[in-house]
Amino acid sequence: MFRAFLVEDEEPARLRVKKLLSNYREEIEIVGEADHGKTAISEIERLQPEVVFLDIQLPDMTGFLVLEKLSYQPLVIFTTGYEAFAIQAFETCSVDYLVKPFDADRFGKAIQKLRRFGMKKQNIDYKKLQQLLAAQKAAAPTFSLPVKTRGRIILVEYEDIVYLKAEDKYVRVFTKNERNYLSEQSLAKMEVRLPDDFIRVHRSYIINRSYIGEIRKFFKGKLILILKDKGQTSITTGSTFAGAVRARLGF
Amino acid sequence: MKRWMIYLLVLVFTHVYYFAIMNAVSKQFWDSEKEETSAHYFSPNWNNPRTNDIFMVKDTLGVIRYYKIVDGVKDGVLSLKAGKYPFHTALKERIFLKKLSFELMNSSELYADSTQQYSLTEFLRLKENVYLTRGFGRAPTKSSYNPSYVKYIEYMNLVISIVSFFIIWFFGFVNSYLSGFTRFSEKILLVIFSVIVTYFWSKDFLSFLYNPSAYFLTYTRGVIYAFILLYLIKALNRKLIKKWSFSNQEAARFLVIVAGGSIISVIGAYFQMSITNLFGINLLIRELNSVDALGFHIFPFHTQFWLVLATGNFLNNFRKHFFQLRRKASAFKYARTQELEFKSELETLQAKINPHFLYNSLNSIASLAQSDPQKTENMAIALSKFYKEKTNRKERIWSTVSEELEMLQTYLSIEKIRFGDRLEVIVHRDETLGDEKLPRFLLQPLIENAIKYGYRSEYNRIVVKIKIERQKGNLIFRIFDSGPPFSEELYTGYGIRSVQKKLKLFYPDHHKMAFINHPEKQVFIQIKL
Repeated sequence: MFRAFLVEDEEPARLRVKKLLSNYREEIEIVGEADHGKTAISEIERLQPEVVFLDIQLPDMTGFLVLEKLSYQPLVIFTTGYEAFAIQAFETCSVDYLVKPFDADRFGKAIQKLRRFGMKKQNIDYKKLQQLLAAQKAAAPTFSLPVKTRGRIILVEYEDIVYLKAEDKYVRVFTKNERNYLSEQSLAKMEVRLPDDFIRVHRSYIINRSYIGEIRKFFKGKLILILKDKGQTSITTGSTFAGAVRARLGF
Repeated sequence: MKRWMIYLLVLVFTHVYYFAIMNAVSKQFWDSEKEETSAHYFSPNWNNPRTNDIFMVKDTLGVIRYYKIVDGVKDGVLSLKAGKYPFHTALKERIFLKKLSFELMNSSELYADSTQQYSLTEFLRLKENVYLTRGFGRAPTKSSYNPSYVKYIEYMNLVISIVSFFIIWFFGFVNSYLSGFTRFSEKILLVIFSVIVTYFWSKDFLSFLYNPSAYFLTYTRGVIYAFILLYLIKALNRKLIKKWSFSNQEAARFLVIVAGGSIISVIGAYFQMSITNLFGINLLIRELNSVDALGFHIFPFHTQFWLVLATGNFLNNFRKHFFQLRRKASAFKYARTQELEFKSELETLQAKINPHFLYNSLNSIASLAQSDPQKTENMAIALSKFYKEKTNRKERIWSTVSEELEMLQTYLSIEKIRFGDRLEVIVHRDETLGDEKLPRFLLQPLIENAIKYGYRSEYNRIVVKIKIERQKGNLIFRIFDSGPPFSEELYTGYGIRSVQKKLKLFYPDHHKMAFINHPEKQVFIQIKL
């Protein structure tokens, strides 16, 4: 007999799981439910169920964080809305995963799996699963740079950015339509986020490679880059960056 | 201010200024000799010679003499001053003729020694013996030639030329067409040189008044010298670093500037002449130029300067354009396909919906089917209505504020079933708004996001506020939610990106989108009506 706990923020989804579980009444007993992470943690700690049906996207935190905060590790069946690409991760690292919406057959299989795991008392590395998912999420491409300026965040699309220039602590972002935005973030921080098209050419300059119009040689291996913006901005590469820039530009 | 507007402004100003001066100068001449008829003034009559008339005589040997009448006819006798000058080339002649006329006006002493007495009949016989005769003009008396007045013009001209130069420089003409001069010290040198050259030009202003062809040559030489000097300095500067020679590109640029500038100046001169003729101003200048068979005419130096800059700039751009033509053509093609791709993408954007939303909704319907048939029905109907809106009117790009809000209500009714009492949505709408156009489904992804990230654990609630208002011809949307503040990292998903893309496509320069945390967390969108 398993004592089970439901963590699910949407009421209909919770009802769905309850209804499906009613078919296994003699095996699984529902001891409680929660609609967000905070109550889930306290309730699970109080009730100490063996099984948790856990939604990954909770309103106040992720399901992983709930697991992390618990003093023990229950068996977990994830209910997720993740796309198919993430399924591999769950396959290897959890009792089972249920992609919404799920039918009775699929739910039955999950229960079967639960029986097997329950007997083995096998430990599952949720941390690893979380890392895998985080890696997948981070790899998703971004398209714009958030520029925080005077309490506002404005999104500037990468393809519109001609170059970025450090000014004291701040960074000025210059776009192709001759606008510029002062960002309170540091250039180094931005460099991490910006895609491969952007090249650090100077201590205080990052340029968008697709806006290079002309390259002139300068002394000591430095280059003068003339950009294709309206003002034909010319930027001389910094001496420490010259080699890297040459390599990035292919000569 | 657009660049062409500056061009136009300088052009108009220089011309107006030029006409004003010419008018003033010629008026002064006219006024000083009011009793004279204009025809006589500029075309001395052999049969009726008067004091200060100048006659040009060229004999069969090609020797040209000038006769200036020092004293009018007294008792049938004339006093003449004569000059004798051989000329080698027609060009030189023209230049020198005018220079001479200028000198004649200013220094009567020049011919003091060669004063001769002729009787009127002897004088008229002179005419018969020569190969070509022509009335050349009449030297003004010293009193009518007012040096201080001319000086004033000279200074004005200097000021104007420097000012127009700085305007031109300031607006980046020099910068862009002399993009070889990238360093600050070079730019400063350029300024200093231009000021010096301009100053010498303006010193030459008077000779230009009476001797435009010479002026034109001086000017052209001046331009060439200035550029040679500047490039020499640049080359020297380089030499200190590396080498002497110009790069091919710089040489080409140099040629284009000088040749282009000179050509356009000549063309401009003809153009200018036809205009002045049209307006009938500058009779004085025209008279003085009457010997000028080629029609080299005056073009104010600042206009010429401007023209050289403009032409150089234009030709340089053209050259660049020429070399980049193929690249540009392909870029255009690329942009075109991009646009088409974008449009089709937009259509799919309109039709597509966050798959999670569909999964979740269907899951809700499945869950509710037995426990709450009424809710299930409502949800299924709302969902179908919503999807109908999404897919059926695919070809429609625009929608109105009312339609959009109606669609949002449908969408919200689904979300309300999913989240129950936890979700609260407040809509504030400016009552006057209704028929204003906006891209379809612009707001829905933002509302979806607000619901997704709007949870506030203290109240165990999601509060979303939608505010639509009009402000000075702009439509403003604010979508508030009760969730934690936007992070500086702000990783944006598909929804925000689609909104961003739509705004960029439909309102390329008339939109704003900002994520604001204070005083209230909100997404702010402003579009032009």
